[in-house]
Amino acid sequence: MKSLKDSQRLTCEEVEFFAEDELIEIIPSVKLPVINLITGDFGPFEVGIPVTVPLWLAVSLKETKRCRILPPSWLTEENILAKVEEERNNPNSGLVQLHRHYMEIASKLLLVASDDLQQPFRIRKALEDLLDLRTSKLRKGLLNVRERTPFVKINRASWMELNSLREPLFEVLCTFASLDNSNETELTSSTQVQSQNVPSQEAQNRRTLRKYQ
Amino acid sequence: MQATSTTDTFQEQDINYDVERLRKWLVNEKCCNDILPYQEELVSGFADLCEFQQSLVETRAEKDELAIVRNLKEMELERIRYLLKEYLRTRLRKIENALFYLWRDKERWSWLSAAEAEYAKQLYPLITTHFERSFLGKLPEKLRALDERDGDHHSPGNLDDLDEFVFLYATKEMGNVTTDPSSPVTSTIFIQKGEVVCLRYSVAKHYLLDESACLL
Repeated sequence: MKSLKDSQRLTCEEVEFFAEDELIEIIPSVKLPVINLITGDFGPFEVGIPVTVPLWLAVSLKETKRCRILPPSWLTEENILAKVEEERNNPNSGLVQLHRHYMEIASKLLLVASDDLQQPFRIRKALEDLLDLRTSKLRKGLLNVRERTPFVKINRASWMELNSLREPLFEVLCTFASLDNSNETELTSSTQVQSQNVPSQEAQNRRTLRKYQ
Repeated sequence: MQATSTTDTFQEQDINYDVERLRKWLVNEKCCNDILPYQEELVSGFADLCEFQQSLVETRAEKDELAIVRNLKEMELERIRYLLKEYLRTRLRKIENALFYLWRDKERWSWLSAAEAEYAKQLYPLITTHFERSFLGKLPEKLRALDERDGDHHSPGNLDDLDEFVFLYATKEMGNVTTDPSSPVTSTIFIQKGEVVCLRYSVAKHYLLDESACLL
């Protein structure tokens, strides 16, 4: 039997699957009635009139050449390069705000609808630069965890980025926690002394908040 | 994590947000070792909806519904069924792994569905009999009991890493949260809506149950 942890963890494929539920605009090239799905009603589909549908539906129509996909406003070379600059100019601050599924949506559209994107090769290159910078920031943040900490705030990371950070971060936190626990066991006799040297709550919060911020 | 997703951008759309809830509970189950309360209403609701939609697809197929529309409906049915099946499978895997623990914990036992409890009830004697026949029967009598604690006082089937770290996403403002109740040093954090915090499951659990946060 696989261990609980292995069988349970979210896989990249599952995160991609969830990303396919995000809504996106398409321009149909065929006329279709309203499609009554469990998720909701989509359509009617009129030729040339934009309509909002889940990504998986857009991809399915695109693959059968029944629509053109309108890329999200953030998926242009200019906007991604702006984010790259922002990340580059703030190497010591947190991550830049992006769509929670930016990489999955961009990859999917680059794969099936590159003809609907302006300069897809440049977009791909810009996305790779962005991903490199963000991964490097997250890795740097991981190295900043140098002691036992009860929490770490990780704002503005995409779901896929969180998923890749999960294993290494949890391992680091658990290792420090277990080291600290063994120290506590050894020092139980001197608890009285320790309590006088307990750092203030504010200092403790400042120390833990520094991570990733 | 971005607070506003594409979904929020299209608020005028007629969306069934229960699909998102089902996905949320699936991810909650997948991202912690503990077993969470069974979502009876959601699961049975979606099972009925899938059955109804399937019958509609079949009925209309005989009429004049376009093949492409039918295919799209079937694709969506498969996607919803995947969420349902994965939710149930994840819980079954947990039940199998933590059977002895669940057997003793009344609160968590009450969180199982009737079918899950029945499954666990049938599985328990099968596993104990198997252990007894394969090796316990050959041990001295005082070492045969399955609920004996080991040298480190760990009972069998315990979820030893129940209090692991998790990624908590605040769907509402959570205010001041005490992040390590067991620590001699009190540590609190103010969690706003849309923030992601990595903390102990024991801290996150309360917020998962009242749905003011979910796991990622």
